[in-house]
Amino acid sequence: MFAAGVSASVFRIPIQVSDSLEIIEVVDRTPSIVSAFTEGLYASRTMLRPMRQAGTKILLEIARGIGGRYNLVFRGFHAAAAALLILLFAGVARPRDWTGVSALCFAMLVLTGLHTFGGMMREAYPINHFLLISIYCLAAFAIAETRGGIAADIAACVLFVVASLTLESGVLVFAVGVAAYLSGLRGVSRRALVAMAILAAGYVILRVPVLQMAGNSVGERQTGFGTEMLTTGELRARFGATPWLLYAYTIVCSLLTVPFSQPVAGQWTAFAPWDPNAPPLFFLNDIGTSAAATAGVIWYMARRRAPDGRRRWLDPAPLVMLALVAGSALLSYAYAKSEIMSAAGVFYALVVYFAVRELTEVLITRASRSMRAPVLLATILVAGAWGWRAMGLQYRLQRGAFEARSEWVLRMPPYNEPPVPLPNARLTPRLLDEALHRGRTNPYLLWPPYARLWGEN
Amino acid sequence: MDAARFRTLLPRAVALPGVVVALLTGVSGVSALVADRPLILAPVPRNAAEAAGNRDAADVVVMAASTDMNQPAPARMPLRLRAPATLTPLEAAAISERAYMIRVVRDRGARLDAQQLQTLRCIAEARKDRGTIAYLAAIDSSALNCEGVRIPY
Repeated sequence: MFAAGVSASVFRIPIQVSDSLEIIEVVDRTPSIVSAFTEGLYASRTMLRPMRQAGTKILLEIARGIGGRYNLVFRGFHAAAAALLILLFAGVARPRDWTGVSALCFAMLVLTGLHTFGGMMREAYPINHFLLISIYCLAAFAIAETRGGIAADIAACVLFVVASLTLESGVLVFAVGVAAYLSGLRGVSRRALVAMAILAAGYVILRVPVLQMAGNSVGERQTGFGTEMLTTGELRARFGATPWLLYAYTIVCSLLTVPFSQPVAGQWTAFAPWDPNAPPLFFLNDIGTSAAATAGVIWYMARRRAPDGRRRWLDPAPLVMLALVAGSALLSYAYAKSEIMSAAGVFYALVVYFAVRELTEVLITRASRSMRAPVLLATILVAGAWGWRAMGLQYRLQRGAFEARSEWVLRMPPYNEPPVPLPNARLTPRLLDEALHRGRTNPYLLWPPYARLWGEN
Repeated sequence: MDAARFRTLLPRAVALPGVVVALLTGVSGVSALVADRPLILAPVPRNAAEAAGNRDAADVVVMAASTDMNQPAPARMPLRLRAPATLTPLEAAAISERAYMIRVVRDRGARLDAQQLQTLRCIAEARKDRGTIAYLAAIDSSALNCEGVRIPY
């Protein structure tokens, strides 16, 4: 049901003008998937994402093959990927009893209610590579949990190659493999990790000496600092001489954003100047629910496993989560973005699942008579507050559909210059027609306080 | 509360909000997939005035093909009005406090005559909406007198 709810709302969002239309038009002009891949190798000075172009070309060919139904194919792919992520999450959690099923229901709220999840669902690009990276990380973890073998090793290496050529965050698949191995899982063997390390070295060689690519520097994208969101010009003016200060700040903020839901993209939105139109209840709910879940995670990770007395934080899921939070935060050094932390957010929700399952079992056996009613009340309160956050995702997806549809009017002539000059745009008229005639919804017609309680005006 | 009851209730309390959210969003999602109509959080404008008043440029464009863009209609605008009001698409666009919506509505066939323009300018003045005031002043910068002008809400 979670998968159906999320993917149906994802599917309603039309192909977006921003970040999607231009790449679709460019890739459409390439003659083959291989040439689209090659085009992707040279598309940017800082980003190596040729699988994005190749994937876009594959989807374009499929759409053309079924009569030019571009929205069906692109949005269907995104919706299917969203469903796959949720199903993979449930598969990795593997509840064994009703306590586990209850904990999974709670963890699903955390998974879909976290702000890092929203961007994976709402943005397109036109293939959401952050969503794909989260799927690849979960898949690598699932492989590590198997009994292993040559097929598992090959699959893990293929995942690494595909992931790292999809998005820079794809190198996190290697971190998943290493952390899983250190925690005792042997589905991905040592020899596979060595192979991945060699592939990672090859990736660096491809990026730096071969393609002459550079890393991100100060002012390439806007990012938050304190309670402000700084423009690229402001960033260059303020941190051009001391970039390390911004890098350190952004890494620390990225470390905090998953467990505490603040800051968001480096900006401490909860502490911004008081706005009478934005009641603080939204922030209190976000921070309060995250603090409660994080307290449970810390409690769980500090416990010892009965058989060998090892601390829980050395278990596979917690260790992989720690590796992903740290790795994703490092990759965010130049600018903070919730989506970069999305794979870490998925594993955070997975650890919440284990923590809630264990906490429920402990409370059932140890809660004193006088504590039982307050425990029940607190449980309903925290789970209900997370439920509200999860419903907020649905609101944001409907709003995303509204905004993406509006873009097809307001970001096109006569109101704006189109991303691709119209004489060169082969697909734009068809995509415009498709976008205008699908996903009708208008969040502004909702009674305002609901939206405000999800942090929007 | 005895231990057996607590053992039954605690997992249910943990799961209940998740089950509710899953049912609400799942059923709504199936409805969206089957009938292109989600059951929750996805209201749809009923007419061009409602679309114009709620910043819905896409629906204005779609509806303009089959609607008289000068016809008043009952419009809900929860962000701007406490109760629905009968408005032309141009009036609704002015009340939306988004000047670009006035342009979109005009581009789709709404007539902006002198009387209508005066009404829109008075709406913008009453709402102290500087963006719309500036947009309309570029069309007509003459002195504005709102005495006797009917504000339609």
